[in-house]
Amino acid sequence: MRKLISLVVLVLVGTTHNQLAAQELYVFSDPASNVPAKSLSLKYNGKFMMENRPSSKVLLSRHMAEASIGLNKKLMFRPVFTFSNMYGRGDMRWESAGIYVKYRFLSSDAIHRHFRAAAYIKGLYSANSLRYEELTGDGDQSVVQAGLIFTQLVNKLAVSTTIGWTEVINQERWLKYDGPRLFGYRSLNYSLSSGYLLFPRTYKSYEQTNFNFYLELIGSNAIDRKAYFVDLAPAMQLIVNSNTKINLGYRFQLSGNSFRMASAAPSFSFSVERTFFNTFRK
Amino acid sequence: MKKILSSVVILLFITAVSNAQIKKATLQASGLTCAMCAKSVYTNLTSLSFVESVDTDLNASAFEIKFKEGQHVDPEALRKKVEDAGFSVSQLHLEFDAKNHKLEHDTHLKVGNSYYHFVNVKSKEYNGPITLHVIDKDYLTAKDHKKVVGGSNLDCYKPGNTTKCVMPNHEVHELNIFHVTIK
Repeated sequence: MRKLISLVVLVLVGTTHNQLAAQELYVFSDPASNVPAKSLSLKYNGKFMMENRPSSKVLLSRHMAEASIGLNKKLMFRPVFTFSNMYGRGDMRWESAGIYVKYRFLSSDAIHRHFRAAAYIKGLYSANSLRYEELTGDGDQSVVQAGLIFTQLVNKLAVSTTIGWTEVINQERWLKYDGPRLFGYRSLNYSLSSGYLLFPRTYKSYEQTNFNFYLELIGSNAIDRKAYFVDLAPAMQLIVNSNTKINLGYRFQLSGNSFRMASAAPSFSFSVERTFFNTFRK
Repeated sequence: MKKILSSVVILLFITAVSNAQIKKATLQASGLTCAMCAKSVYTNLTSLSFVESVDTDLNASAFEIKFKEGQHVDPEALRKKVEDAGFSVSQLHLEFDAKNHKLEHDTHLKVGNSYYHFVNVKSKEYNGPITLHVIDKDYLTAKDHKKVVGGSNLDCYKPGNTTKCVMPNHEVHELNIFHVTIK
């Protein structure tokens, strides 16, 4: 397993000599770069996975709506709402609301390259009751998350890494209960992401459709118990008219022992994001 | 004391006032490779009131900017727009139509509401189109900026020190002086 992970890491970072143009508009994680100041980006993201129940197969889905707003060149915030049928009795319902704030504290630009570092914090209220060992900021639990992101663009290849802390703040965490728990409340999340521009090889206009390929390694280690997982997530992205992204992603577990949704079944994701430049300027 | 000294030195500079205009500029942005990123720079630049049109060379992340007739061109505003998009200016060349302009090292030229301070230029009378290379900090990559620093010891026109440049006799706005060279 360890060999496989190092291989993936090698593929992710070892291609810096490749002359392919790269992107950092990752599908499963955020880069250290922000949305442009005074601009608005609206995103729908759907996550789908199949749960095998003894009597039937159930399609679990989560629908997220996000609005990213650039306050200035360094600071952005993003309200997020989710709906899902993943908890409760299988009916689609409002699930969570939260806010993500990212501050870019370091930016070093050169021709066709940059290094950026950002800090983020996310607070999310979820209506779900605690069920799984996997802790996320996607709506599964009420959480506070904070972390750091480092993104490097070298020779037209973008590699990004995130390391973050997740703390569950559901009320039931503090209810008196002496029995065994199936889940923890604290985890360390990390990701390593990489992206390539496959088309066009040479830019001609803003109207040209761009085609990107992404490969992301996403992992989590519980801090208050022995549980971990490492996922691999390849994704494709079309950028239409230089303002609309269409993403298609697949995420599966490489390794892990965490108690996760749908027995750690793979998931598909589909998202559409439209950026409105200069929305909030006089 | 240092400040007073530099102010006195500045007073000695000959400031020519020019009616000529900066008609266009070439701006290269750094820190980006994607068309969507360039689009945000493009949109920001076109939102400026003195900008007539912007042509993009996506592969070079370069923007050719044409300015409106009779409008004051503010290089600072151009830079801010690029930075708001999330990137940096790595090169700014301003096209200036010289009409018998006598320029030499350490002279000032007023164009519109901006002062241009010439650094390391050949002393002569200039005629016809000349390209002014802005050499202040944040108008070049860090590497290129290092190369041009050291040409002078005077605080005022040490590139990157635009805010400290005050000319007591003129109503010069802070940040309104740009250090340029001609290549």
